[in-house]
Amino acid sequence: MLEIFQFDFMIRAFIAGIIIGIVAPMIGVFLVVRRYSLMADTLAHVSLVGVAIGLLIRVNPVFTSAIVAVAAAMGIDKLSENKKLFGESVLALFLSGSLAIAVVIISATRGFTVDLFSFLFGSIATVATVDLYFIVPFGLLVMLTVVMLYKELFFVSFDPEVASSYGTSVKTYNLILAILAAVTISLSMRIVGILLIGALTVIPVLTAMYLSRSFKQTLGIAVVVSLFSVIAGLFLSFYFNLASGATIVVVVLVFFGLSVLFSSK
Amino acid sequence: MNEAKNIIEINDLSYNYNHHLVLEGITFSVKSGEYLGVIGPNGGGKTTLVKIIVGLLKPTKGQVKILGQDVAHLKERYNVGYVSQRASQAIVTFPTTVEEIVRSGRTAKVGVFKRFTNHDQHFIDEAMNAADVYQFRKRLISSLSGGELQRVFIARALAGEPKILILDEPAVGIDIAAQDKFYSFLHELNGQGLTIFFVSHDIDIVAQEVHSVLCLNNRLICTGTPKDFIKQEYMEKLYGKKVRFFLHGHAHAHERESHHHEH
Repeated sequence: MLEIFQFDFMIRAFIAGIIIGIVAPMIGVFLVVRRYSLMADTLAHVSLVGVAIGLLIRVNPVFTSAIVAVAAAMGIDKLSENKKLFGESVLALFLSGSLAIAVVIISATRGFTVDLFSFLFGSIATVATVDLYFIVPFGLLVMLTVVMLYKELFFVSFDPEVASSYGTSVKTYNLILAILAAVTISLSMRIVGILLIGALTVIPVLTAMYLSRSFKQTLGIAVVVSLFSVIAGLFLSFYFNLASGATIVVVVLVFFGLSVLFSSK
Repeated sequence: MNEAKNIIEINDLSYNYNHHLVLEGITFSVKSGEYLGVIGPNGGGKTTLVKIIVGLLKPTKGQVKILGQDVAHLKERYNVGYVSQRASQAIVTFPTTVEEIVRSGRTAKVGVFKRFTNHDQHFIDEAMNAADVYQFRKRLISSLSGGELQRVFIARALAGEPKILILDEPAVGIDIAAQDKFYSFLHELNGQGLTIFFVSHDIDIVAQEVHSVLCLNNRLICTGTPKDFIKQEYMEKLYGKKVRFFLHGHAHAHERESHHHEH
């Protein structure tokens, strides 16, 4: 057996990584085609508030960040629906506003800098068994939801007006997607880190868009690129002592560069 | 012989937007198998009327019935095939194929949590064949011309086996040659029994293509055959200034020329 698999924390990191590697681009593909790429980054920043609260009240930050991110996703959805504001302005509001709130909470309490750093940039050593109890079932739930609602999410993403005229509730599916994105962000922050999860959600999809010949293929290629990047990134971070999140994202970036260079499009 | 059923029944419909009366006191019906064109100036409420019929807007007053049911409570909404004005400016960067787009038109009919079956695929293939897009079903939509894309959107509407096809300015952005082909396709669909309701600002097209016409300028100015509506009084009510027609086998409204001739 490879040395890497003799460590329990690495096995936990791989389990979490594989789940995240599949789930992040599954959500990302719908965000990218709707020109909502910044949604993942925004929710990631929002989840920092949840992490700060979790560390403050000594509750697993993965749980608190999930709650805060889901609440924010619903808030973003509600405000975007209101035609008084541009969708991207709403994202900017939540992104910078939540960062400010998180920093205020963190600076007021002090003393958890090491933990916080691992949440910001991801760390393979910090995935605890209790985290897997959250990551595995919720990851599977996100996958199942996307598979079961794939045709509706596609229709609503491509043409919300016609989908709505056919009785497919655009509001409902927008909200479902926002909640799925929030959950995915919370699942991913242990490994990839809050500041880099947006990259894992979006870049595999952009890579796939250069190579694919259909929407389904875009989704498939994005998942393969993301999974491979997570696994390669975890290996590299273990053997070269690198930050896992950043290493994973650098691998994804290499894929993106190659797809731009060698794509016929 | 049985009289054809009403597919659309609109009674005393009004619609306000920001205290501005967009539609007022509209009453008409569309019978099964009819080929009806709605004509009127920009801002005359044509698109608003379409959006009310397909359930995207709620009327301020009046009643809209589709297939005998109030539009707000219509269950099988996919019975109304809708090709929106926006279709001509579709997001061509969306990484999707013709077949995926056409299939999406059957989403509501199949139902939530259910997958497309071979039976569904049969209707999807039929819709693509009818719209003559089957041969490029695997192509990305970014590689299609405006005319081809418009046929794809009609195929999407047909995939849900609609009872009526509603098109809002369907030929915008399509070149003249493709337009001819496009309108003969609509004729063919109507010949097969499909009710067609289309909106256009192009008087020439409406006069040539449809069986009956609604002239709309916030109110219903006239209803009748294409011959009826090309009357000076209706045109003045519609366009607010004098227009003159040059008949070259078909009618034209030519506003700039009309000024010249009338003075």
